[in-house]
Amino acid sequence: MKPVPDISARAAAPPPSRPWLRTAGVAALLAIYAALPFLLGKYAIYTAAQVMIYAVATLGLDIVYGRAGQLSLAHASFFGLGAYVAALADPLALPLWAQPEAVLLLAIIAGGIVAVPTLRLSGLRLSLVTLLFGELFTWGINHSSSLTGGSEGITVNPLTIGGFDSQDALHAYLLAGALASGATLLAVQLGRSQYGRRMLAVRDSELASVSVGIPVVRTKIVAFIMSAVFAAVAGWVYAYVVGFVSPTTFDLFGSVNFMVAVILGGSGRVLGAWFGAAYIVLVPEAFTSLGYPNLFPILGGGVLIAVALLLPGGLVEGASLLLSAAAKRARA
Amino acid sequence: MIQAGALGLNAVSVRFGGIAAVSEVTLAFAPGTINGLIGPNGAGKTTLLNAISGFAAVSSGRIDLDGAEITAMATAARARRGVVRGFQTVRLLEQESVFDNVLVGCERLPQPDLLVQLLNLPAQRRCRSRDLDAAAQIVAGLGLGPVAQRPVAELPFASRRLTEIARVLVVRPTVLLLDEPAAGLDTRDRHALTETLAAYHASDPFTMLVVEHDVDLVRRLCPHCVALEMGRVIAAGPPAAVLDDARVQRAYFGTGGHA
Amino acid sequence: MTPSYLASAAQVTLSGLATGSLYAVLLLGVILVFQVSKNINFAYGQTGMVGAYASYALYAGAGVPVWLALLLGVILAVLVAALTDLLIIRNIPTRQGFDLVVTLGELLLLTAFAQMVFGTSAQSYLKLLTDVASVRGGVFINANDLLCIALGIIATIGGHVLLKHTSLGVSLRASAADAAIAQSVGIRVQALRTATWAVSGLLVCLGAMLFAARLSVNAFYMTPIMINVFIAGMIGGLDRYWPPMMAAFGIAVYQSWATYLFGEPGGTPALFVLVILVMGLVPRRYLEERHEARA
Repeated sequence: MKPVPDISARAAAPPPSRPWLRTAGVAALLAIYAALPFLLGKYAIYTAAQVMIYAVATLGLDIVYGRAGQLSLAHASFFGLGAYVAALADPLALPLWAQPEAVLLLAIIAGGIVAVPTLRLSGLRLSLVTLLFGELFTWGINHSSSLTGGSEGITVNPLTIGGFDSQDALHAYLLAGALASGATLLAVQLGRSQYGRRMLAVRDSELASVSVGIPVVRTKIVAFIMSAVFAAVAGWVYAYVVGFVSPTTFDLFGSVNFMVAVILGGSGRVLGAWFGAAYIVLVPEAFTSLGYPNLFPILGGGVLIAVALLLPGGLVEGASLLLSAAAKRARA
Repeated sequence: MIQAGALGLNAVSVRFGGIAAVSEVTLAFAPGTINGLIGPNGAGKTTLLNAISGFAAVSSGRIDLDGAEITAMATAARARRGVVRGFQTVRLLEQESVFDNVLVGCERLPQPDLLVQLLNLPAQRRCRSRDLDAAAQIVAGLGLGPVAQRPVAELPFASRRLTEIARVLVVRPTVLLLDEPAAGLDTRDRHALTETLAAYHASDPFTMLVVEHDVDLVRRLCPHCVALEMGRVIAAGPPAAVLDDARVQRAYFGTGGHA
Repeated sequence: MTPSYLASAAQVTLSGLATGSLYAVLLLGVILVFQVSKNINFAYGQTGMVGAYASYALYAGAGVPVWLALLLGVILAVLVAALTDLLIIRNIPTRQGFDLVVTLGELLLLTAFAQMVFGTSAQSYLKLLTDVASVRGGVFINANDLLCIALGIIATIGGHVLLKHTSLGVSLRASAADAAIAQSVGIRVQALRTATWAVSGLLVCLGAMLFAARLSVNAFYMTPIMINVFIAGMIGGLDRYWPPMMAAFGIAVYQSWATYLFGEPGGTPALFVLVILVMGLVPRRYLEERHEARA
């Protein structure tokens, strides 16, 4: 099978690529990243590291939900999976060089297991089964307290290699930055790949997907596994940076929190995942420092409703609307 | 030159509950031919397309493509063998652009492994430019250039219909099934569509089966035509002969009447 | 004199049936909303929680008589549910899954609100007949259990009668099947839909109040209950009636036995195993949700 030969004189161009814009954007981001540690205090840098860690996990959920359209309510459990590998590394005498592989392997297995129901289920039923997997994970942690500390949680010794200390704010910032850039590159590249196209097609029209030969179930499984890998790796770094893990971070409400990030930021967009992660990390911090820690979930719920009603494309859509409005005014 | 796309149906029946939507249909479509499929509403035309493309299960009989039986083959597998279809109600990715919708059709070209894609290795870069070129060519060829970057949800029906056709044509099909492609188009767009399909077909023939109510379109486009009524074949041959057939006229117009 | 193992079996089953009856009451609300409005309300459980909490606050805090406190709580829940439809559901874009998203937001909102007003620690609720009991044949029968079972039976049969045998039920199903056509024959589709949401608020509040009497309550107490209710709906199919309602009773009895045999930790894994088995063994045709039209 080959592409049909061109029979008309002119050819339509693919989307115009502006390499200079992209390079400029990346350079600007790198500059900001390099400058921040000199401009902000320790705690702010630590918070920035948190944002980057959550961005990686949110990118994962964006792959399975924003891109492939599958509502995964087990996402926080994948995050927790990676976190507990870090937490249990010392008690289980797991050497450092083996940990990333262990996280990767467990994430692939877990993502695959959670994805198995896609063979027979879709839509609401599938989401409920993912919820059940999440509940099972929490149950597992709570009922193995001798090993995992149960519902009380467990402290995580910092990751130290040479002079590197994961619980030092600057070192955490660098580690998280490296992780986040890798994850972002992967996510962007997914968007430009055939696998990424498959996921969009499965999300928007399974009928159309099947009619061009897309293997729908396999696509969903790949999406789940990718989301699990992103979340688990992020969770692993999270545990080493924060120094403490407890199952309440990784329960249903944790998964809902990630959903808020994806939807609020703008589902299906890499930039949206970053906006969303920034929101779920920075806004609670802001409320806590202002003295109203309980206001965040209320606001979160209200904001989610407002965004869904008014701005379904999330903050990304809002930002582009603002930009185009500003551009229009500039031209006038 | 060996041409693929010989499609054979042998006593194919499709039953839903107690009702036979398609009954004992035996047809043979030669490779590279354009065939019309006509008949009054409820004759089973869409069901027959569904059976060939895999969207409806065959209750009895067999379907062969180039000698290989595809009766029980999964829909996606048939698509990978080149059996692609367009839908009566156009099925698109609403939030995506025309261009991205057409790119989806490049699924049928050989693609690299997941890791190669994610790491943007040279094979991925090659395949991507090949896909982009193919999509650009068909988008231009169908006149969708000016709207290529717009989300399909915003476009008028004619453009949406053309986008779906671009999606199925971006990679040469083996058997193309179109379900009322002209429905909802005005006369000028119908003519354009007919000519475009004819031109694409002429440059590199593939088997085509077109369900249509527009008798003129069938006459102009299809050298061969089949008429269905109540799930059975009642006539087959050149359009002029089929349309003059008394049984076909009775099926469409009641007693006697004219075409 | 019944032997003690029979008495235990009866006890476990009775308790399971009582819980299952409440699951059925809750599930009826879910099914009605799903079949009439084609939506899932993730904030359903919290709507009931809010009504139960409000009634407790009125009774314990403001000295309002019990019956009035309960009534006002129910009215609050009904209002929250109806407003959810009126203000939110009617206005969401048609993008798939957005009803899940908005009601998820409402879940966060109501939960956080309750936490703020009532605190995070567990509390006790009105007795609602849980303190009235008698012993028959070695089985400890609680009046509250009987009340729940009675409610469950009324709801199950009432729901069936409503949907299948009344003109209202016909209107509901018509407006669900095709709102435009229903409207053209004079069925007030929007009003019916909001009314259905309101009824679901009533049902969830009744269930929430009775559960509150049986368990200790905090802002999250309805969550595990709702998970079970949704699972029953999922197993039976939210677009059917008798299979999910029977599943509601069945799951509760099953879990009652699982906790009896394996202790409290046994509940979640047992449920998980059940769901996996059902999803794996039930024929595929039965599992398919109403698919896109084959056109």
